[in-house]
Amino acid sequence: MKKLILYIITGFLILTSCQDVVTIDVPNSSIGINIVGRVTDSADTYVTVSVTAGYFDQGQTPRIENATVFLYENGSRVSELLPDSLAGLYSTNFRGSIGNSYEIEVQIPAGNPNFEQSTWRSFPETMNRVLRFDSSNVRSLNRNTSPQVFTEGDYALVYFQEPLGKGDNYRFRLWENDSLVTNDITVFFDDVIDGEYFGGDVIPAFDYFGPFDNNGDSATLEVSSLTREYREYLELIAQLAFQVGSTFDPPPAPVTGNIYNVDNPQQSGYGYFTASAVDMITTRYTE
Amino acid sequence: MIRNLLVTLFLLPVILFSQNKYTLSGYARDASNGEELIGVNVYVKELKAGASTNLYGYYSITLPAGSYQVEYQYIGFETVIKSIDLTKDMSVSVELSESQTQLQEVEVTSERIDKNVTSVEMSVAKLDVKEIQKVPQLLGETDIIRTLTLLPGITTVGEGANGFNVRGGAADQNLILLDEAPVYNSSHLFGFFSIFNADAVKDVKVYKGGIPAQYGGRLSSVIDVRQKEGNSKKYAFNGGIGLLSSRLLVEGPIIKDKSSFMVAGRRSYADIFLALSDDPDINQNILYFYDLNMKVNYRLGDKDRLFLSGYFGRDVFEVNDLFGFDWGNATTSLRWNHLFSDKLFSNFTFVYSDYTYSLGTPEDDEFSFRLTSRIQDYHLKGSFNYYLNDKNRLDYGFEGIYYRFSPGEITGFTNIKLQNEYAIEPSLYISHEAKINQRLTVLYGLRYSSFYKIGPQLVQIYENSDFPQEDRLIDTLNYKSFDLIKGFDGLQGLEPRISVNYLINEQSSLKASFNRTRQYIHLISNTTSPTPIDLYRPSGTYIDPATVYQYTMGYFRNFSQNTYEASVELYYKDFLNLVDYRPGADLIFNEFIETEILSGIGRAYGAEFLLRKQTGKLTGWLSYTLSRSELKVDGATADRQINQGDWYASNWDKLHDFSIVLNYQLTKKWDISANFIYQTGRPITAPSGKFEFEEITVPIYDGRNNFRIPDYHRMDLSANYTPERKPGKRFYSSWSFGIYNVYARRNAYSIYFQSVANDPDVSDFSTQFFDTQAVRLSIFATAIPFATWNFNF
Repeated sequence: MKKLILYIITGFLILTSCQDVVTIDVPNSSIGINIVGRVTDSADTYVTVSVTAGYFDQGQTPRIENATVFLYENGSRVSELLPDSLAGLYSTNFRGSIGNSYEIEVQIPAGNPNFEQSTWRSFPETMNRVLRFDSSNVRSLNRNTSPQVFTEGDYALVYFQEPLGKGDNYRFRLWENDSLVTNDITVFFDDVIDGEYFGGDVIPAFDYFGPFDNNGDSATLEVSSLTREYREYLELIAQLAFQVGSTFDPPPAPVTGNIYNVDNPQQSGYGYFTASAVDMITTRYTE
Repeated sequence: MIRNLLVTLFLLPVILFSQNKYTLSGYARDASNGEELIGVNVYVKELKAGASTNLYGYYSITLPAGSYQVEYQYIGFETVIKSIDLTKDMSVSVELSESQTQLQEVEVTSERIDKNVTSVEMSVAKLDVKEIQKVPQLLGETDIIRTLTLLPGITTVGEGANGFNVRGGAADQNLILLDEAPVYNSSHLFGFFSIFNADAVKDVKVYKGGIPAQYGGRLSSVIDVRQKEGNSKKYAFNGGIGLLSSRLLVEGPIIKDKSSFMVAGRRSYADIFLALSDDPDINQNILYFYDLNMKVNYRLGDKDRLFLSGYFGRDVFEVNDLFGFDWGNATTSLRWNHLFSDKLFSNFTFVYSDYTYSLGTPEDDEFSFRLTSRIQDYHLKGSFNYYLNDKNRLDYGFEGIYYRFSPGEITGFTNIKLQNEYAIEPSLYISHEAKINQRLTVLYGLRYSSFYKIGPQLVQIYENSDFPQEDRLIDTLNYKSFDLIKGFDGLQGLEPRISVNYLINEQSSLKASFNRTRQYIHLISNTTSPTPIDLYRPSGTYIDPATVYQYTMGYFRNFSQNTYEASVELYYKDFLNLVDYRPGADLIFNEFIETEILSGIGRAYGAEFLLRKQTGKLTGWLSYTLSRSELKVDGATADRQINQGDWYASNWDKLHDFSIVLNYQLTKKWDISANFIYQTGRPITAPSGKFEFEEITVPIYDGRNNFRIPDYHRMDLSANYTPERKPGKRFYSSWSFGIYNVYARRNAYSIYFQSVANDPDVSDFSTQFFDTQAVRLSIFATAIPFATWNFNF
């Protein structure tokens, strides 16, 4: 909606408005820890450990490469995550299970050039159930709008049953030929669509990608389950990252994830460690 | 108790009535069209006593028997002097003609137009529509609200911001009345233009402080807009064609000397601007607004008059036939003026007001939906002006409001409805204006308001009622129709008002005022400027009424036989129970809004300077405001605080606000106008760092409103060509030409912060890096010329 309003404003004022990149001087806040990761029921578990940077510092934020990272299931240590090929990335091939709760602990040793010695832990996250994709197919679509703005073509459609019982939260991510299509955050919850079947008489199948360009192209859709707290965290991240700068934006808010300093629980980190059940479906286009 | 109070109010005239003097009363009207004139000075030279006409053009003054020269004075009109031999109660109505001496540097006939000094009212801004029409405006569109922001103490968050801010108050703290009906959204096109069609407006008056007891329900201001009654002498048409919109007004008598009407319409064509874009995402959109004003009045006799007026306005926006969005106000006022006696003027009003917005997809879309929200209210009120004598006047009355809040209903592929909410707001008021002696006038009064949130409604009960949380629900209470959910009454409902004027001499006075006002409904909006999809919600179980205490004092001085008016006012305001929002609050289509809000306090203080010249070849004003507006949300725990519980600047805090507005009559046909505006840049929240979340660069914001956009300044120029009307020829027209933002300053509408792909050729977002930058968005970055053709016949 906010983007829409800005489009209207800049559209209405197409002849008069302009945008300039400007240099401004804002004070930097103190450096904080940033721990992001997830455990799933179907893929390796990973954690990225980094620190914050000044807003106008360019390039990747500094990584913590010598941390020790442990994973806990229902309060018991089940795995250690080891450094991966990318700086600051730690992983293990551990898979979680729906219904269990998960935590991580990150120990940063003394002498790290980017951050002080400290131990960080995440609050427990329960791995919730996820909707399962039934099937997908390709169908020619041409939405009848005037003027025509949808590109007529072949689209990937997915069919699924949303499990009955409110309280489910989901996130979708999309890849085209193994490339992540966008970094937009797409989340939703089942208040309105609880127990509905997508692809039946009432609600049509979800056209998640299209139109395809080339024979052999593929589109992969991932759905992961979220806790309500993680969905709210993601919504806040999306709000902050994609502000459009109009007076119709809400005030930016401070971010607090589910990471805390073990020795000083009032001190929070910026990231989030989540537990998600995941389902994926790939549609390959053949003319 | 309420019954006793009502009886007392109705009996007051009888108790206080005195038979020793005689009453002179009547109406003051515009000779050209029969419109009643508001605020005409009625001055009795021999006694140095006076009165002024009320909102319906009625005056009443009780004097000892005798012969008097009574002057009827009104700025821009020739003074009428009547010789009155007052030996009995007399009704004298006068017609005033527009002044033909405008071009003289000093207008000799208006030597006592000194209300600025003598009136007990302070913190009042009054603008004449003809004056507003000469101010250079964006795209030539005469805009009442934008012009008001050129006066001290009234500002906006920025160009194109919905609503306006008065003395540090939020946009929802302004009671905007159109013929007594509240208007919930005063803007078209997301705030670029106001909903008031100047052609249809007779009078605009703004109370920033010293708010009279008859007004209540909002904390910071009252904007009282009165529509024209309609020409009672002849049929007339006037209109105009501008770059943004065209308009037409028709008025005339229905039954001679008994009834007249006015109908005005306006329609914009902003769609044309969208079509100029090469971008198909923009050029196939539809965006326009329209509004319709209507009024009919009927004189039932010498003592009774009926008025029926209405307004209907809509903004319509459609994106490529995919998504539609419309919103607007509708108001209806039915009023009955009745003279119980020459001394007792009464008005009874029934008002219906409705603000609705609706958005959704086309009905034939296979996944169509429509979300509709609205607020409706019904008012019944009575007001009485009792003119005891030339030194005392009593105003008293009552008001009852019934609210229906419909926060949202989705129809289409699914049907969901949020619960409606209902409330009643009854109030009583009385005030007494007393001229204690030739130097001291006091206006004191008391308003008593209360508010009752009533069923039907399911109300959630939380573990901690001071901090409701969605996942800490312990019970749900089911209230049936008219069950009392929560009442706000008792001593907290007392709203004392007092204003004092001490006349130092004929040219200068000192004034002071105090008012306590209460606000029971709150605009739920956490954006910098309210949007059309923000809705009012009532006080209730979890939201307390907001309260403000305002203290004002001022020095008022006129110069050169009242040609120049000057004033300095100082004010301080203490706000209690202001609604603020938890970080990341989700406010749209949220039934249990209590889980998203916080409560805070506020303070605003400042000094306002105004120098104004209303007559002669050169007219205009110079205004400067030095002010601060701050908020504080200091809850018991960190998640109930903003900025760690410290004071922070409100979104509309601007230390300096300077305006100069000038009009010069070059010849009988040509006049030129100029504006210059300078304001401190508004606060914004800038990031103090960043972190990476997966493929996203996330800014870190740890201080609300910790930075300001650059200061704002702009100059506008215009020239108006008004040829002389040829005798016997009905049709005549005039032109306005001008330039908005003459020196093309790129004022920042906003500065925002974004991340951009480090390498645009990398299509896989999981391997992309992002750089961060600040972007200044200017929406009027160039000089914008305009031309408007106005006509009437």
